[in-house]
Amino acid sequence: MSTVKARPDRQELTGLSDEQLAELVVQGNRDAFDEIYERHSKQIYNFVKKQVQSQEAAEDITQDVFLRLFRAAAHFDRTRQLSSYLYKIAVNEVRRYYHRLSRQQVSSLNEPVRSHEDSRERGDIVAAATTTKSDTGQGDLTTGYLQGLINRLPPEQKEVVLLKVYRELTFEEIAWIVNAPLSTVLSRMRYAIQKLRRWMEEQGIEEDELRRD
Amino acid sequence: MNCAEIKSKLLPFYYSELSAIELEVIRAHLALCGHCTQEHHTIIGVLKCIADSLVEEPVPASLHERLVLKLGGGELA
Repeated sequence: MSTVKARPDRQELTGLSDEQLAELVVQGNRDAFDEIYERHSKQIYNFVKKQVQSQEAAEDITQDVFLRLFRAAAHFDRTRQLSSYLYKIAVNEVRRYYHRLSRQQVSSLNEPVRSHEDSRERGDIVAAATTTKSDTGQGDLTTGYLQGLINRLPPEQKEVVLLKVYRELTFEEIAWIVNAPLSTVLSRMRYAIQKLRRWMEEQGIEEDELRRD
Repeated sequence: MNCAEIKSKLLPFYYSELSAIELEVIRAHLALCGHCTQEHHTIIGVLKCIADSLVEEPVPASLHERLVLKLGGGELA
């Protein structure tokens, strides 16, 4: 890594790479941390919010992501992009959130199966608990409608879709971030696309509307 | 590759995350196979619908303030 000035001023920081900033953070440079936050907070916040729905939870989790990054900066693997680390932390924090949520809902999940909805996997139930019916109302390609469909995906599929489509990470990077084999990531993405396609078709979205060159 | 194998690789194909040889094999197959081509176009359609639905929200200003408080003012420890 190229040598960075010991105490670059705020303007100089904007010209540094994420990895150079991380090095400065390890040295105790607060402005470098603020620069990292400014660059990545919106993406991380939105990635988290699209999964947990609640603004309060999204803020808490995003805060924890950056706090964890700060604490782990000294152990940052320089062969990986800083942004990948941020997403890895975010994925783990969101999973922790889902785990806490499912434990809170243990009493409802332990009840006898009554409807087809209860036959879904626990991940689906937890995911559904964080969505609202209004998100899946209309059969047209509106933003809210599509976001509602994505909300219905199981968490492990949703995180892959968000990392791929919204963040345009490679499948290999996503495999590292979610700690799963590449083949598993590809399968999750494929199943997610199949589900979304089926739900769109159930809502009357014609095959032609989905088929694009 | 048969159609099942082609379809399993359509996603990395779309994102050009395959070797040059695999990309070429799939391209050649799509030029000849209507079923796989339909599948390819539908996948593209779904992906573009998802991408177009992206709405980015601003980060609440209070979040940075809370981080500052957690970290303490001034230089990091």
